[in-house]
Amino acid sequence: MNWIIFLEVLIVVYFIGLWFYMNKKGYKNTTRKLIILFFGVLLFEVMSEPMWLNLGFHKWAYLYKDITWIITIGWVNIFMTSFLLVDYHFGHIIEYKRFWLYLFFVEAITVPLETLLLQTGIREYAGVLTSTMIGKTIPLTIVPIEAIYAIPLFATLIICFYKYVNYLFETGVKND
Amino acid sequence: MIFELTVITLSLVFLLILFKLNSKVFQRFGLAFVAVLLFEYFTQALWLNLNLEPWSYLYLDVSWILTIGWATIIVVSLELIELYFPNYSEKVRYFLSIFIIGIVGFFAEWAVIALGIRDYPLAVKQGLSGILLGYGKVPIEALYYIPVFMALMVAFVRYWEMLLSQKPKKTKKRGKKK
Repeated sequence: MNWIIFLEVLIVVYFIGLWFYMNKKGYKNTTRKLIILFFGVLLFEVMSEPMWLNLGFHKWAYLYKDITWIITIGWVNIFMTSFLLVDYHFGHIIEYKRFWLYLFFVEAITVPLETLLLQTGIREYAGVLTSTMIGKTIPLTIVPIEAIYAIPLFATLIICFYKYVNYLFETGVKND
Repeated sequence: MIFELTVITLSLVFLLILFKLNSKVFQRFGLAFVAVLLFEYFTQALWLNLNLEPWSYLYLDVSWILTIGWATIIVVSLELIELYFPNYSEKVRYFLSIFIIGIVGFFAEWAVIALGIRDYPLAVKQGLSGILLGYGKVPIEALYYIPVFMALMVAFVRYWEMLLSQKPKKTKKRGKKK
């Protein structure tokens, strides 16, 4: 997969672009927010590592076993893009309602990308995971039907982690 | 059956005692239950929950008995930390809760493995270091996966507690940065 370098560069460039965009637009503590999100995704990837196979990346892209920081910042790109879009277009809505929009945006962005990764052989599911699947796919894709609920489950925990840890840094609250 | 009834009874007893300290303890328990269930549902391929009564299983081998067990550990730990360390910052209490739940969770993991309730699929075992703690019961990897699991769970609970305590008012204008 000689073209994998283009994917790796594209993800990194998007990430850097996101950082510049947020700084230029006046978002506060951009670096810290991206690090928190990166850390949240990484925690989850470490936990669920036996379930996935990330194949074909260059050696420098791997952190531990087949966990790659390229995929991790790819997730950061998806989450942060969803936050920016939802907060811009629906910023007037109370946060617990926006939370569902975050999930919807993450799902809408992720399913086509997951399809691409599966079709190109970069992403595979381990036998331990496929053994629990019913064998059906999302129409017009090769993404397992389970992704419809698995992505929001994963995203829910990451969003809560990001929002809460970000809150911890932004406040000096001592008690409820 | 004894294990299931013990978990249910202990959960009820703890919740009723804690209700005197915090009237919102059942809300907190509900949030912890949802958080753990989401995680268990997502990662169910990584665990085997065996030898429980058929009525205690929700989907494949995801068991609501184990879910309420974890939720109770989380709630009791959070309440005790708030009781004994009320002046500590939220940040310190967050790390303290991960640490304490990590210790309690390690012993809980040891107990369910020893009882034959918890096991790991072969593919997962092959990826582990093979080093076992607690008289050869618990994989050493539990020392990081339980705190990691709890970092996500406690964040979910605390974030949703904050959201649910928000009054329904418009908070931001279109395009305003946060």
